[in-house]
Amino acid sequence: MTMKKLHKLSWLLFMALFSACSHSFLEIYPENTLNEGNFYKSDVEITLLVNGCYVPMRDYEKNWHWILAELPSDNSSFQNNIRTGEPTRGVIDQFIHVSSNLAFSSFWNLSYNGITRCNKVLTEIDNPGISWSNEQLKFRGTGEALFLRALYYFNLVRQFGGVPLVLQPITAKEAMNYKRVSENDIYESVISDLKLAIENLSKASSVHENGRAGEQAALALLGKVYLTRERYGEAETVLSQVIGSGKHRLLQNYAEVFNPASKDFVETLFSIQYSEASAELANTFIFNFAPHTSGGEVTNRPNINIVGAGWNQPTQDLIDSFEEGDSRKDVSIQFWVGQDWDGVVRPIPYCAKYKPPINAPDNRCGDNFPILRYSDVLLMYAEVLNEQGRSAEAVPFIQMVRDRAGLTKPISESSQGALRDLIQAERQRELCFENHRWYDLKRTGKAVEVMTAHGARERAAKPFLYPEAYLQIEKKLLAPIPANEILINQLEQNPGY
Amino acid sequence: MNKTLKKPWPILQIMKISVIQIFLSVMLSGFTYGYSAIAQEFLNNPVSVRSENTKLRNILVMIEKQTGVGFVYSSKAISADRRVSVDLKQKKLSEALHLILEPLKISYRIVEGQIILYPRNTAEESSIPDPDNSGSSYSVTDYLVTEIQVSGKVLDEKGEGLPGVSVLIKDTQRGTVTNSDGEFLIDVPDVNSVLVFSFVGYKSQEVRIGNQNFLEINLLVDDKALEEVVVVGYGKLQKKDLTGSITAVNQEAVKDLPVATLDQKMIGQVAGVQIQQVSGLPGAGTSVRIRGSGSLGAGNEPLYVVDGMPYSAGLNQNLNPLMLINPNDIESITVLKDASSTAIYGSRGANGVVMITTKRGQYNKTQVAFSAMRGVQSVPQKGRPNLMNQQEFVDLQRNKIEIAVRRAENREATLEDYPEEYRYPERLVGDGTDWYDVILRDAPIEDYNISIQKGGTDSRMDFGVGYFRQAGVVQYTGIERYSAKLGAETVIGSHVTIGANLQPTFIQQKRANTNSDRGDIIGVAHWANPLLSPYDSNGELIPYLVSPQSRYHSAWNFANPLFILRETTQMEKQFQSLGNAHLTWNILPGLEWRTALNTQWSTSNYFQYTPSTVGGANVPPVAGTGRSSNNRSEHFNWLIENTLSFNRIFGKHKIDAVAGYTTQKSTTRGINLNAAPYPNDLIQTINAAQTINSWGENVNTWSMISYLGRINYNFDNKYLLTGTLRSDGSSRFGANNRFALFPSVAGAWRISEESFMKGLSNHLNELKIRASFGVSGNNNIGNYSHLASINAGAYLFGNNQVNASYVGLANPNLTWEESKQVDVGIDAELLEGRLSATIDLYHRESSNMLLNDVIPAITGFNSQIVNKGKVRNRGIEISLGGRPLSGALKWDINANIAFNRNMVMSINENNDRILSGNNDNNPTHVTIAGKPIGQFFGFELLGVYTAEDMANPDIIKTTQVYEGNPKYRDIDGDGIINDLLDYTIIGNPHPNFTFGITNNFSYKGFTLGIIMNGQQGGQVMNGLRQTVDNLQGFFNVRKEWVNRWRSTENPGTGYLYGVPKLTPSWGHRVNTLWVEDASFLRISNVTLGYSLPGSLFSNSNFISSCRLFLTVQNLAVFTHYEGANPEAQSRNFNNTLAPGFDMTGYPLNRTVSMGINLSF
Repeated sequence: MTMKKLHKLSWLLFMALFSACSHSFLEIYPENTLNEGNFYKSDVEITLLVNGCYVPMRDYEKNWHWILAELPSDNSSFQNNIRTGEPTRGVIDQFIHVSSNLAFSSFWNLSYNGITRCNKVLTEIDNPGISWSNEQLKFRGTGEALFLRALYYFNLVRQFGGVPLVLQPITAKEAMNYKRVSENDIYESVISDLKLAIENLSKASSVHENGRAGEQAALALLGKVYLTRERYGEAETVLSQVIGSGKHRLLQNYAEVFNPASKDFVETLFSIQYSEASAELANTFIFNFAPHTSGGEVTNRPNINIVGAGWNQPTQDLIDSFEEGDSRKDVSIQFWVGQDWDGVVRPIPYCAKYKPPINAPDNRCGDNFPILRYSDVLLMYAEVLNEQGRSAEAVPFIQMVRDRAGLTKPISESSQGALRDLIQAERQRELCFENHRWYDLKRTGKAVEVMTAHGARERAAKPFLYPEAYLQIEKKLLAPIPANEILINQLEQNPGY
Repeated sequence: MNKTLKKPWPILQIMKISVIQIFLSVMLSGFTYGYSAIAQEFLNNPVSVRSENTKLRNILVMIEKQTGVGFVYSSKAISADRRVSVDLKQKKLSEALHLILEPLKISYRIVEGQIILYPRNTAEESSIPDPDNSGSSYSVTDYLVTEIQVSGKVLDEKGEGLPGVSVLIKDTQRGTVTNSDGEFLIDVPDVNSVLVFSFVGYKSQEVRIGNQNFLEINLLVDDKALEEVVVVGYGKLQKKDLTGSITAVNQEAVKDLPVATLDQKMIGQVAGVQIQQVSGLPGAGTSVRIRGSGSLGAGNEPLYVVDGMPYSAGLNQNLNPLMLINPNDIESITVLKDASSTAIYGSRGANGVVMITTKRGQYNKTQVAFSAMRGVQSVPQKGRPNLMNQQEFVDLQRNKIEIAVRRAENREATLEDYPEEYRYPERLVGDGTDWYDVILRDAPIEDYNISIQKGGTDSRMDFGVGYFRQAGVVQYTGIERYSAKLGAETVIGSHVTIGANLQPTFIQQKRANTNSDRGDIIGVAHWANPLLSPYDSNGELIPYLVSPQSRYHSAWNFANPLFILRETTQMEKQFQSLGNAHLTWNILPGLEWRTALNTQWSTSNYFQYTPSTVGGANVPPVAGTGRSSNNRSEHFNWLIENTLSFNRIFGKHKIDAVAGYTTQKSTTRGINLNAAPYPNDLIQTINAAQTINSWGENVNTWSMISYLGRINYNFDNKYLLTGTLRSDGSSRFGANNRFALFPSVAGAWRISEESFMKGLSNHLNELKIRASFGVSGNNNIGNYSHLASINAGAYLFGNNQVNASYVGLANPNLTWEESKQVDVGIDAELLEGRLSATIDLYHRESSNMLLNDVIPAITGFNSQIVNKGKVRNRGIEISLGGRPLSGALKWDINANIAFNRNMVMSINENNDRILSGNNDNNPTHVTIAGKPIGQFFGFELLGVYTAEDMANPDIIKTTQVYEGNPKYRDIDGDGIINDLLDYTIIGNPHPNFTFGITNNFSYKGFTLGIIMNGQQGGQVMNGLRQTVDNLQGFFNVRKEWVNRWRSTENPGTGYLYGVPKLTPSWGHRVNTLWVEDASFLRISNVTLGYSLPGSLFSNSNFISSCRLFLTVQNLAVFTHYEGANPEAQSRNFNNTLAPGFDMTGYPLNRTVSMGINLSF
């Protein structure tokens, strides 16, 4: 207080003599970089910020999400027989991870980084000082930010359970007041964001661009959220809107969906966009997923060292799940013959959905990573119908997916239970390596049962696994809150860590 | 009396004034002593009067009009109607008055800017005959029956009249001042009256009148004058009136030092100012710490203020910003240490302030001076590397090969396993190539200066040029400086002074890569293979040297360091012009307005070219790979200061106050371009490059608005009080904290002035105790750190790549680092100045440290620059001055010692530790709460693993654990030695105390000055030990390693490990072996001077004095440190958090030089 008074006093003393306008004199923004103080002017700047909301998701899908959503499932494992020196990924596959694991903190940090970007857009976009060349751009930006925020939270809640719910930009000090809220609160926020996203995106159809989140993506995601919450009726409504819109359909050939020469297919509702143009824009999936002993034979880039690769390796369980004649198997899984972890030469499976680079000189791959595909929508729709006891109505949608896979034989199952199993099996085969399986296992309550059986098979097959491997599945269904956040922000840890 | 004073002295129209009134005005002159100097000046103003038979009255009016001086006289005593004829052209007023008044037997004196006329009174002639109006006579005694008139002359030490001396009747306020010839006239009440003569720079003298009526007084120079005027922020103060801790550097003691910059001259001169010469490169910066390190993240260098302009210095190890100021132009340097004196610099004062004033012309004085200095520099033997000779080196290499053969083929090595060069060590005689010596040379240094200072009665000017050149003791390095200075000032009317100064300087520096890493030239010069020669058989330099190899072992190849020096260009050119224009308006006596505009404009141009013939360590040269780097920048900084100062004496109250408003803005704009490859090295300009690899442009701007005020109050010369306030508004501070307020108060009590101390006054001349408290700040927090930047990225939609931005984290609360300081001090002077002492105790707490703090990720970010943490510095500073001898042989000694204790009190809520420095991607320093900043951090070496250790089942067996390998303490007790986890504090870079001793002897024309400085305690880490203690066989190593562990039977010292059997080995981790005692005592300068006797020039109107001198700079260093310089500091290190890390330091030179100073 006294400081202010003294300031005023000195002002009074000197203002009479000097009329320098101190505030403009002291307000200096850097000339060679953009700065918030001189930034928000028009839709151009806002669109830059909206584009920025996608970036953290690109980075976490590329490096971390498959570790948290595919590796713990029965779909994939790893080729290396290493125990030490790899404290991040192998331990997650075996359910022996701890809270200091880099994968969780990276995923957490990138998620909140993305949420913060969305929050920033949503606080600034209504600023009356911004000039809009086209009002639809504003609806599009709002919708995208809401959609992405919902998606970030949806993945967070499925990994960690309830997390701090931050819906506006906050300072470090304010962050101390944000504690974990209930899972339900997060889902409610996700649902309300998506509803609002749908409303906005529906008014922005003329400025829609391939790769951006659009109305159908928001509807499908909302369907998935409802499905996860077992709110089948609401899920049916939104999913039927997607199907009814006619904007998406299955491609003729499953392999086409993963053709790196093309992208943004009519089957894809939303995908993370990658390009070989630069390291920043590219993914490196194949350089992580190829057998680490395969040199350049799988990646086609002999100069790239992949001795640390061999991750997300298809398990025998997954390989065995494909029926005879299923065209999806060869697209998803291929084999390279060579020395395996034990020095024995054998055909080694690897995930083949994400292909080696076409043109890039190094390890830059350009295939997009699908988040929502039409076959997912069909299978979700079948599931909500089946769960509501309308099994017969569900069958054609499952059949559509199977037909495209070359399994044209009509489905024989008809009971709700049998169809339930079929739908999940179909999801496993159709959507493997697209980060669905672990979430599907958890939401259907099958995770412990399936993974315990899978773990027993793995332990038998791989003598180098840790002794505790696959023995703590039930305790580790939820990911640990990163140790750093517990320390800095006194967040409550999940039980089991 | 006070009533008279309250009004300003009116511009008098008094034509009638009695002698009584004259005495009144004389009495007042005692108060207005401060203005007598100006009064004296106008006596030199020119006048021209030509008139025939004109009344004296009218002539005086003419002179009044021309000079603005008023005359005061009694028309009764002076017959102003007498007619006079005069013809004067451009005569000085004093001369004119003499010519006009002398025949009329009228004398005059000057009081308060007026000339008072009175009839000349001599013993024989008590009345003045009036030629025109005889009969009307006048006698002084008519009016002053009881007064005795006394005249006299005051002489200086040379026997010349001293003008402006205050002559005061003791215990009264009556007095006068001496005229331009040192003469005075005063009436005293009686024979017992005592006159007190006083003048700045001289000792006061008291004389009882008795029956003399003519006095000749010799005033003695007061060397230790308390009246000494000291430059402080926004003003000057008499030393006795200081309340804060302020030290002026004795320019006399350091003027002949053969160094390039003023900070180097200050070494050892000021208690509590630690100046470290971190590199010997000509023009390299020093690290200056005033009262320790108070900042973790915003720098610890003091603020330099050059002629009122805050001059950005900061630590620049490559090029000292002070290089752009010619030390020969400097008049005075004052160091402000406590918060009460630095608070006036507000947000820039926390690290202390160094006030620099440059020389100015003086009114009525002409001085022409020339000085020349030439010398030669060399690198002392002490501190040069002591490495293995040829045979010892070959033994190490063979040792390494033997181990490799045994491991690979399980057999003993044979002669064929060794490279040919190593097969017959007995044939290798001598040390081999001393690579360190190869790159060194004896280098010249020279300095020439001419200065002209000329002053008339109403204008003064100064002009100076200087040339300085210092070649580096490392070949092909050096610096040159061309400097000039031009200043002028003129008085307009009687109240307004305007002036301007310009100081253009150009420097050009040739650098080499040093203080960097083992790959730089100093690094290579340590470890290079001693068997190889830098020259081929034709005497040409070999560009790249290949070490003998075997199939079991390969030593490092390297580019010839001398070839690198010769072929590589690293040239920095800078031009700077400091400008100043000012206007001073004496509104009323004691009230002055001053407006000053200061500008600093500079440009710099750095060009680096590495031709393709230059390789690196293990990197052979490849044709067509030449590369260049260009950095160009320009900088403009302006400051407008408006100050109003007021000083007045009211009886026993003296007030000296200043208030001001300043605005400042600085902009730096730079462009950098890196281009490569060049197809050939023939043309090195960018157009010849194939591509420009990287480029950038930087613009940095900051601005500041400040309000400042200070009041000094002095009661009866006993009690002093100072209050200071500054409010800084800065563009660097976040919007929520834009203005910062920095207050301070200080008080002092001059005990020696108390009546109860008078009995001691013969022994104790001065005793003052001081206390101050204040707040100052450190605003080096980056220009834009508080703002949220818009960060660029990219994303794509379909095949369209788009820009994707995101907003960084703003910190609108980001603020300056704040430093609160309490200081208590004593100043004492004893035995007529033969002994003096200043002791200060201080306690400084710096808070709101700039830190990169980890924050919750839910904010979207993981770290943020914040203000957190606290650092404390406290200590004692003692300065002692003594004059053991003061006869024909004089000896002055000044010594100072400073103890500073630094401690980090807190870092953040979690009290995280801060790791800093880098060795093999591991830190070298740690900063934790409860310890001083930047402790050395590494393994504690226990010795080597012995055979007994290996037999001990409790010793964990890992691949690092084998006989002869270094054994480090397992700090965390987990049984395994791990980097970082088992690091501990292994040393402290902060000294226990620093000290300086300056001795000055003089005998007749001879002077001898000896300056010593040093530190006790504190440690230094020799980073090159990673290489020269590395037994992997790649490098030559220190001679000590002859005594290494060799086998169970031959374990050496038990401390020096053996050649590693496995790689990586643990022999090159930061460990206790690298940390050495940094205590040192340096004889930093010895100067012998001789002034030729003045009689030699007495017949010459040309030369007035001539002085010759011989100096040795850096004569000797006594230290246990094995490296070149215990104060060296690696260039790439964050200096605050990683102090005392010596890495391949450019060696300091010893300079022997001669010089001459001439004045005309």
